[in-house]
Amino acid sequence: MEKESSPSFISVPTSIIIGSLIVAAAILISSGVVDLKGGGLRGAARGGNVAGVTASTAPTVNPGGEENTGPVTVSVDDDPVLGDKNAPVTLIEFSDYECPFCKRHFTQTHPEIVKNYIDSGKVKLVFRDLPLSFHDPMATTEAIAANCAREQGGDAAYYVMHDMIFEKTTSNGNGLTKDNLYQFAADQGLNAGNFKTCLDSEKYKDEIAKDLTDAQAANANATPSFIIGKSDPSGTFQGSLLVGAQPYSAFQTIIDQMLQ
Amino acid sequence: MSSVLNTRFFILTIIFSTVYLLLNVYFANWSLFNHTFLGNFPFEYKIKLSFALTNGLVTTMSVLNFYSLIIISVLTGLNIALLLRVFKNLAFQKAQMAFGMGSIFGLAGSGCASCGLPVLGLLGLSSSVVNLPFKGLEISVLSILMLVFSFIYLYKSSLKSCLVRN
Repeated sequence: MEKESSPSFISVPTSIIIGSLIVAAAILISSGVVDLKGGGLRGAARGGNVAGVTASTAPTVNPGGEENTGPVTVSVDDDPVLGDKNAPVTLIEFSDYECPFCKRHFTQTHPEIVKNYIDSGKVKLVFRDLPLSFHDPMATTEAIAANCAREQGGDAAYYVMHDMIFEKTTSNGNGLTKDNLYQFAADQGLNAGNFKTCLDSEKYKDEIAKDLTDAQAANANATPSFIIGKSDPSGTFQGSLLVGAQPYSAFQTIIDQMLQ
Repeated sequence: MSSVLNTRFFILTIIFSTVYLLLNVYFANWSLFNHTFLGNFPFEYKIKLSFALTNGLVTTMSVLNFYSLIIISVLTGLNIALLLRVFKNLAFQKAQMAFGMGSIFGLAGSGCASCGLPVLGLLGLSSSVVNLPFKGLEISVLSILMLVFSFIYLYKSSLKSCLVRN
């Protein structure tokens, strides 16, 4: 009879445990629960604040005892608003114009949200930029273009440019050219010279960098990411982080719960 | 053969495959899940949100990524079920290591690579994956190969161990 090699009760559990530990550690570090630089665990009550965004993992209760609407605190900043500014629910979208799944969200889910919640004044959308480095330079250029449009025509012009970019781009970092963006501005009736100067000077690069920092602090690691919560007059609110091009039903479920 | 691949084996496979698939749903939105399930929300809301996010598996990744995830889930289920079947004869270290690594790669590599893979994104590696020729699909294929290898190895070993016992 062939002699069996010595049985090991270690390898399977070890590989599973190591894998689980790596994933768990990554989640804890990225969520800010573990602070590598400061050392040790960061208590949920401490709630580290980075660039106006606080993130904690446990459900929180405010001093009044009422449960908050989400584990992530985020600001709408001074970013463009679609819908009624006094809408009871705020939906922040961290998005990348060159991400194919952001485009999928724009074509499949966004119209339903606009039709059922934004047009009826129940929800306001605040679009914030999260251009991923591997989609640059075009992702950031497109984000700047939308901000340059806003400079001339306010939030309405911003969302016209936003729609044009998402409709026309073929995504993945090379979906459009700068010439396309100049043309969109002209089609929209913006001052072509001012738009070109704004875009070429990368005037809003710092604004986009701030959005990026806020997204990272809110644990929005992938695009599109959404934070949905009850609006607050201060512009800073607590919301739930929804990651990915989720179906309309996911948004509907969360928003309806917030509207109750 | 029937002594190994019986009804109990297939039921276990379905259970573990489903659990693995749901783990992917959880990892993509772990913050929202934790908040919803630990929070004081109506039960109906928790169930509705879970179903909506599970449906999101289809919309949050490409068709290729989705099918590779399904294959990895089934293979992981098969491996765990077989592993439990032959657990008493743990002389299959190569297969175990391949299974463990394959499952982890599968979990890490799932999602939309061009938008930032959730698990690899947490590790800060999603942008590296996008530089690969097939935008991270390589990780899923590697995972599938490892899981297939471990399954074949475990299956052959389990047949051998049955013969020894008889």
